[in-house]
Amino acid sequence: MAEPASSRGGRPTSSGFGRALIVVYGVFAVSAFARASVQIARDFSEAPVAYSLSAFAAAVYIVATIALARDARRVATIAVLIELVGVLAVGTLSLVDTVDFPRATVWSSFGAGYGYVPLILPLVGLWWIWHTRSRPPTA
Amino acid sequence: MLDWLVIALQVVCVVAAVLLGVEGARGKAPLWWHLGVVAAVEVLLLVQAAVAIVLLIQGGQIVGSAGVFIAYLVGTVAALPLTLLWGLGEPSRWTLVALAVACLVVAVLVVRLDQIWAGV
Repeated sequence: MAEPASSRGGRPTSSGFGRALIVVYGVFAVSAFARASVQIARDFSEAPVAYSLSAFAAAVYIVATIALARDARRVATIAVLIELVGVLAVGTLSLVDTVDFPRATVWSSFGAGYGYVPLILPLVGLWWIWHTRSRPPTA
Repeated sequence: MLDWLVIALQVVCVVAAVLLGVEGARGKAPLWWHLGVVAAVEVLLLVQAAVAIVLLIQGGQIVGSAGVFIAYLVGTVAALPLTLLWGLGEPSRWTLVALAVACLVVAVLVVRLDQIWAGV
C-alpha cells in the first residue's frame, strides 16, 4: 500500500482513507455536540462535571474533524492528542469516581456506549496524520 | 413507528453497508450502481420520515423527547447525502467505505429513533 508519491511530499489528511476517517470523525462531532446540547439544556445541574466534559468532547471532535478535512496537521495533531488523553482520563475517572460522573459522556467507560470507537479513533487518527506526513528526501 | 418499516430499514442499511464495504475493500471506485444502492436506502429513509411526520400530524405521541426525535429524524435523512457529497469530492474506494460507514450509522440512528418514539 506504500504509494511512491507519499514517500516524499506527503499527502493531505483528507485524501484516500482520510475520506472515510473524516466521516467517522464527523459522526462523532455531530453526535457529541447533539448529546451535550440536550444534556446541558435539559438538566445541567444534575451532572455539571460530566456535562461540561460532554461539551468539551464535542468541541474537540469538531476541531479534529475540520482540521483533518482541511489538512491543518498541527491543529489536527493537537486535537487528536487531547481526544486520546480525554478518552483515557474520562474513561478511568468514570469507573472510579461515580459521584462526578453519574451521567454518561461520549468518553465514559472508554466509549463502551459507542462500541469503543472513541478509544480506537484517536489512535487511528494519529497513525493517519503520521502516515501522510511529508518526509525529507532520503539520500 | 411502523415496525415493518423499521425492520426493513435495518436489513437494507446493513446489506447496503456490507455491499459497499466489500466493493470498497476490493478496490472499486464508485460506480453508478453503488450510487443506486445509496439512493434506494435514502428513498426508504425519506419514506420513513414521511410516515413519522404523518403519524405526528394524526396525533401520534412520541413517548420520549420530541426534540431529540426530530434531531434523529433529520440525522437519518441527512447522513447519506452529506457523506456522498464529501466522499465524491475525491472518488475512490474510500468513498464506498465512507458510505458503508454512513449506512451503519443510519442503521443505529433508526434503532434509536424507534426507541425514542416508544420511550425506551
